Amino acid sequence: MDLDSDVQMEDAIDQHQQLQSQQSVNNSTTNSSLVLNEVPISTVDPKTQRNTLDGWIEQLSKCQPLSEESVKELCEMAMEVVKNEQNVQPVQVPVTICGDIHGQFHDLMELFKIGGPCPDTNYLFMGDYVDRGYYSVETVSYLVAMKIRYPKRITILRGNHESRQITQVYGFYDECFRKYGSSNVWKTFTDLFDYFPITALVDNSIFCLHGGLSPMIETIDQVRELNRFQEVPHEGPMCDLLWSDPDDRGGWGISPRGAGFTFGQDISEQFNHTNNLSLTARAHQLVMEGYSWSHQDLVVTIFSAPNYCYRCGNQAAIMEVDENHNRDFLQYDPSVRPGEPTVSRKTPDYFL
Amino acid sequence: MSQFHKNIFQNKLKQQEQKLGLNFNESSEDSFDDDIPNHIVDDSEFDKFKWSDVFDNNDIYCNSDGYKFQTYFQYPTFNNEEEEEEEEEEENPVIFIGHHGAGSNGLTFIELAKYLKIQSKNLNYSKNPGFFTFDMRGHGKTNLINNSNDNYNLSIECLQNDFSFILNNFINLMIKKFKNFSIYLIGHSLGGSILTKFLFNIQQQDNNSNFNPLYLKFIKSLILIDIVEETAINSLNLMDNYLMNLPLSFPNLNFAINWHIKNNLRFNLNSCNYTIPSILFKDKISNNYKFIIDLNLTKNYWLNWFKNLSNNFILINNSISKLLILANNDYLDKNLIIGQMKGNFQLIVFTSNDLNKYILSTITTTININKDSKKLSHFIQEDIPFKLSITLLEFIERNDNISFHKKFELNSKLDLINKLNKKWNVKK
Repeated sequence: MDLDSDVQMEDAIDQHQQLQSQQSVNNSTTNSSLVLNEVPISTVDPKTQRNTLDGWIEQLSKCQPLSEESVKELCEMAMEVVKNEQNVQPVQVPVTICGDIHGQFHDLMELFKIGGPCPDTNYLFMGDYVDRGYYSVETVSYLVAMKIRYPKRITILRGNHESRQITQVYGFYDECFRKYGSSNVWKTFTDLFDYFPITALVDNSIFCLHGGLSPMIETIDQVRELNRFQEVPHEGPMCDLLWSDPDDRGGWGISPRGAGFTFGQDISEQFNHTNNLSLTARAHQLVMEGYSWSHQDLVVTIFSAPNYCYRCGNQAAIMEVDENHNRDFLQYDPSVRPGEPTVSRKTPDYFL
Repeated sequence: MSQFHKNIFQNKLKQQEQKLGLNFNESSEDSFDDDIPNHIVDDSEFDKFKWSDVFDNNDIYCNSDGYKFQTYFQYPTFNNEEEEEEEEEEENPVIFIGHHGAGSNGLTFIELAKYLKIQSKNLNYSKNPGFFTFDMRGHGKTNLINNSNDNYNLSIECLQNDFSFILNNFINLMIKKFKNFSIYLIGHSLGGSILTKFLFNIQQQDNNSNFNPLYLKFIKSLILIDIVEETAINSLNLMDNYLMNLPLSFPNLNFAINWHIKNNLRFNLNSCNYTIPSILFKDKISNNYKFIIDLNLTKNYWLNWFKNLSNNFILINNSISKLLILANNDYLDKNLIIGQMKGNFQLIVFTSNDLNKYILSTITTTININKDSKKLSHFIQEDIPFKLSITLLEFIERNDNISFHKKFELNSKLDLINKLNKKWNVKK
């Protein structure tokens, strides 16, 4: 392997491979099932597949996109992994919970530096990998590759931007077109997004999702009953889970965003109580400190794209939850990197 | 203008526009030639495109200084033929109030008003929105019916005052007719900026205008069409060049319309038939058509027209639903991005590409009456009035709190919210 590539990640993989070989020697049943799960699903030789996958990860970690054919293969493999996950994907502690990334690839690398390399650290991402930033392709390819490589170590949920309609407006479609000369890669990824799980439940205690609650959902079991394998709908419970926001006003309200609802503290109290939750963790809203409590600590918002859109001046944060459910927030600023590509803006006239 | 001059002129303009980024699609020129009638039409042919094709009245409002405003009003109507016995007083209409931008005039909304009425019927809404608009100071007919000295006082303060006078006057008339009604403010470009600043100042009770603050309760929403502070202010530097290259006159109306379409300033001929003739006047001496307003004379006001727009928009509190509609890009400035990412307002972006490429959408109805253009300029309301009307109807359906809904759906969104809150035992 190329020693010049991202040291942190290489270390992680090497360490993990050592760990795995130790585990194989130990030969305990739970460990071997873990190893099996982490071998990429493929009809071809798993060893070659893993090498391919490691090669992809290495390439992506340098912010170099994969070829169209590789993306296709990657997404097929990923689909096999995520389609078997649940609407409410169970996740164990310890885990580090992250919010919106929005194509800010270098900041994602910073996130892994701050939070610790995957798979040493378990990660739960709550959606919005694409749009607005300049490296949506690299960002989502990288996360998806990591998901296939370490399916039990990393969980990736769907955000409202993981949708065909939204990505046509906010940049991912255009970026795919710019980088690949056609919309094929965009289509491949957006088809995959339909399979992403929509919520996760950390140790039966922290309910994690991109947006927020839905007035049509009173129990977590009702989320399990949804058919999630579809484009994000314009209304209804699945839409709400990806679009809603907590609000200072009580009860349910019409969301100013044009989709989803706003929900007050009384709603969060009921929902957390009914479902025996300690916390609802969500992303979706920009918060200047990177995280923000609301509803008297019943709801936390986590936003992991520092200086969002390269201009908002916000900090980013991730939330570590340890074995004893202690929570710790790690805040970070934009990574040091060569300047972003300048995207020329058309300046229209505003008068005639 | 001789053909020679015309050519030089158009080449120059093209270069300039490419610099400005006005040409969104270089290969576009030929593709819409088909849409433009090439034969010279007798100018009197344009007489058939009248405000009264859509609007029901054209009252003139005169303020205390004696300045007169040309207004246009399409009355709201109701689709409950079955229950004709219901008194009009018990109806709660929805009324849009449009504010056009600099260089334009009130008829920029004429096709939109038309389609709002047609589509609210076709889509089975319980009522058809009314549409009120006017020619702002110095523009359109308002310019022509006033003393020229008053036409160029176009400071943002004066424009806000003009609007508060007009709105106040309009509401005074409406409350005589209706117990309750919803007003949806919709502003294009500078018009959007004026509406935003007006609302912001009223909400801050920094109100030394002639607007009755009690009337604020009627205003449900603020809709901006293609205006972003940072983009607007950045474009100010380019305005001199742009204006320098505007033709001083057009030999006939057909030529003027073609010129606007060829230069990607508008794309919808149907709308142009109303809007371009109404921003021009016929010069008696040369027999040519000239722009009614000389925007060069408004230069000193430009910066203040837009300054603090985004900040004010974000700070308008959520008793008013806010919608920003952009053409061709989603480029927001810092305040707007933060606002959007906090869920402070709704953003809808229309792009030229979308008009052709397949898009997954709830609305798949392409009815024959759809006369939208295939491309999109800054004048969204003129280019795609059909699509925009559907978007706006859905927006009202979602945000209105006095029973705007489809006839087969018995409940408005507000009723739904009330039911949901009841189900969750939310205390009022």
